Amino acid sequence: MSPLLEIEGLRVTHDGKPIVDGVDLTLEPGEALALAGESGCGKTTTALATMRLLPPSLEQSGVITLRPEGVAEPINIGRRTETGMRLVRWRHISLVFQGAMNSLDPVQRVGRQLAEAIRLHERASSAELAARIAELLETVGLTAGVGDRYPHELSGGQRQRVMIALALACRPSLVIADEPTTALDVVMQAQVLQLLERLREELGLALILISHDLGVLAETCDRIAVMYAGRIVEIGAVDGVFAAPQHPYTKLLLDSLPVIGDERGLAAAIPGAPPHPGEPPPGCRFRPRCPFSGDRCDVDPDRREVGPRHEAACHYAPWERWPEIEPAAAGEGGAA
Amino acid sequence: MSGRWLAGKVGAAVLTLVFVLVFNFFLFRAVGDPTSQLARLPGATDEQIEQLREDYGLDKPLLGQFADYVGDTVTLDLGISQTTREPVWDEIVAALPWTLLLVGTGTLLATLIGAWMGVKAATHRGTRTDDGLLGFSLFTYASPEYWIGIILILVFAVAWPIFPAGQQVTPGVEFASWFDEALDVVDHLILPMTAMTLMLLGQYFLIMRSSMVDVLTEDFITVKRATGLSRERVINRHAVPNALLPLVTLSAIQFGAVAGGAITIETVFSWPGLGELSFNAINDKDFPMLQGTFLVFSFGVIFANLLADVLYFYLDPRVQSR
Amino acid sequence: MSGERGVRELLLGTWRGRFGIAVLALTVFVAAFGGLLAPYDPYASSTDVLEPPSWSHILGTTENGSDVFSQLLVGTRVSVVVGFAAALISAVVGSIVGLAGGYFGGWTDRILDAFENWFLVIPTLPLMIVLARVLSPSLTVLIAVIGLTSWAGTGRIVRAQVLTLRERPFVERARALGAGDTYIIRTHILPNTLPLIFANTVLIVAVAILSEAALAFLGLGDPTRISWGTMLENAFSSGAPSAGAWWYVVPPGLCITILVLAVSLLGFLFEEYINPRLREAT
Repeated sequence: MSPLLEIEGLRVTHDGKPIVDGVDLTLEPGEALALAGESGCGKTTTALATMRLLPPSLEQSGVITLRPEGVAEPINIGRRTETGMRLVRWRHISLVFQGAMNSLDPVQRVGRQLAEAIRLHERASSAELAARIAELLETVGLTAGVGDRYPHELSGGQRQRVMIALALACRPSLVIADEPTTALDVVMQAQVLQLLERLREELGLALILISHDLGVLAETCDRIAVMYAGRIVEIGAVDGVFAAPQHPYTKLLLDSLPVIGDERGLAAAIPGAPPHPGEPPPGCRFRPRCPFSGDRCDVDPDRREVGPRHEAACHYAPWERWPEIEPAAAGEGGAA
Repeated sequence: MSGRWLAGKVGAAVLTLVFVLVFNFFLFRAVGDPTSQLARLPGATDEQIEQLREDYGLDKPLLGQFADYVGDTVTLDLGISQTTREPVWDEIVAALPWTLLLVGTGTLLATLIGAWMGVKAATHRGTRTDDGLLGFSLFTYASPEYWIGIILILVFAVAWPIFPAGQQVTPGVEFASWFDEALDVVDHLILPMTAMTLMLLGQYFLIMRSSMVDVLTEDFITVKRATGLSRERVINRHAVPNALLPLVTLSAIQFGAVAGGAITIETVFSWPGLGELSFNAINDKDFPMLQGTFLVFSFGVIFANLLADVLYFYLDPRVQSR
Repeated sequence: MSGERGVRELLLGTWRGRFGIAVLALTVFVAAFGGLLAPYDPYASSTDVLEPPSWSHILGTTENGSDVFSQLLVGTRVSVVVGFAAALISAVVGSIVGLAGGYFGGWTDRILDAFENWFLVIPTLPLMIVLARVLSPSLTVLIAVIGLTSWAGTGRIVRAQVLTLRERPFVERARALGAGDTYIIRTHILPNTLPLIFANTVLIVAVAILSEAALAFLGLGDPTRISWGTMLENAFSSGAPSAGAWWYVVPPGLCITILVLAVSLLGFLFEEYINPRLREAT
């Protein structure tokens, strides 16, 4: 089976400086991939590049191929004209943003916004359209009456459901959800995630879920890709990566997750700040913050297979055992 | 909920109006009582002055005088012009339509052109188009509107005489029909209206540009593009309606400028509106007339502000549930 | 601190800053020494009425045969003096009202706020006209009238800033330690509000220059002094536009425009410097 989405050597530059610096990624139909990493590492940029929605000040290169079911020829995203791209957007890939408040036009009723998206890609009579909208809203657990409301009249959770309904409007094969639960409270977060999971199973959607919250990602996704400073440093099955991370960055990220019942309470954050992807340090990008670095880290490591379907960009991978680090050392610099 | 919001706005406007009345009353009282000029008549006896004071109600206590003043004002008795000897209100009523015509057309044009320019600049940010529009609007923002008016006369009425230099109709002409007369008025209107438009354009443009720049960074713009809408459609259907909202409220701040512009521009073009009435009143020290026009200008601006609030209320669904 | 360097960079690093500073410096110089530079007595009349520019009168003559260029040089002073003095008054009044309202809150704030609102809504030029007419025109009256009618915006901005400052930890700490109101205002509130007041005042200078010109144009200027506004008034009332005397009409207006433009650009720069959010928006 050929992958639904294939990204090869994606680079996004601003004034010649890279923001995303060589991302390779494949996604099978119906698969849920997590994209993790600190803010500014290029997650959202990668997502927008997949739909060719970056602002004109950013330039993207690399090959992105999409093979939706029922479409004979693979779609080469980079080669499409802007008009051609407009037919791909939403029909095959749709997007759910984090800002539940700002993702919908505040001065238009919800139903009208749903109708607009559907009409762009399909011919539908008013009656069909109304039925579709009602059905979509019910699919995400809302009443059809929500269509007559303005976005500000809905709660944060309702708005995010509307956003998901909008994303499903044209039955795409891939949904990219960028921090879909960030603005929501814990209960809402859980509901929205369950909804996404259920819809994925029912509709056979592929999902790219972007979040800095590893807990959220672990629950929902099959595979996880960890980004650092514009690159994917580790990618593999969620279970495998969580059980035995193979990149020091992933290891530290997982260590920083609060563990319920753990005496430490809030865990130490990773000391230091990530470099700007446009001005990476020499050698391995993570070296300045890496407590496990050694001589070989002078050379920028390539991503390579370190286990079954598990890749990492670290010279010392696979790690048999992680050396102990002093909690004090890890905590130092965290405040700096 | 919304009723209370509206009531609050109306209440504030009424309060401001009361302030204007109090101010107007005391200011012109403070200058000296209105009889002082009459009293300077040679040979006026003390009894005659006293009689005059009584006629004007100046022998009453201040509060009584104020009550009289408010009563008169509410019944539109604004006194008698010291120059023309006509009731101030009658003169104002005659002049008002001309000012409304000038201000209305000028504001409308400035809003349309300013909004259009703002959208162009915001969608072409950092390009020559943007720089050019910014430079032009900053220039018109910085230049006195009456000077622009004079330059317009210099260019389009003197050097290349295609428009009349002043007044509202060609004097001494019998028009065959109302339509011909209307055409003649339009002909006279074009230059002052242009001056008015240029005066307001800069501000409207700057407001629209920055509001548009803000809206274009919103997530929903990216989402709309992601649904497959073209850039033009996203701008026209989603960005512009949102960006226009601040223009409505912020342009309300401009109503004060409109009133000021009416005075200077009407003066330059001898346009027979409230502005020219004020200008003549300044020169003739015609205090009742000055007081009257000030009252009407203030009322106009307060009312226009209220109108902008109400308009915003109907345009922005978010306000209604607040 | 990078503050001082930041301001230098701001003023000299952009064309807007350089243009603003250059125009302002030149204007202030001419305002101070314009009388010495003037080739003619600007008040002296002659029989060369409304002469176009020539070698003897590089900007031609007025309806009285005075030299336009000399009037332009001498007239600079009124614009500059009124502009800055009125803006200063406006800054002082606006700051006091804003500080008092924002800091003390309660009824003080409510009353001052209503007062401020009134000044914000009332059309400024008509108000100035009424005041200037009632008091008879002189330089002092102009400064007072313009200064006292244009402070409301400053008051509003200062009040908002003080309201946020009042809740800051360092102010609460000072209060908890028993510091008095004067002390807190002097050491915590005012230093953090001054940059804002300054930027806003620069913008008010531009407004004040325009207001002086407008009042003078309407015949409410100081009758004993030449200003760019009175020049425009004289030009207009003597029928210079219909005589095609562009040399008499264009220069004063252009001077006003360029000075106002320069001052406004500086004001916008300061505003952006204080409020980085604006920097992205423009």
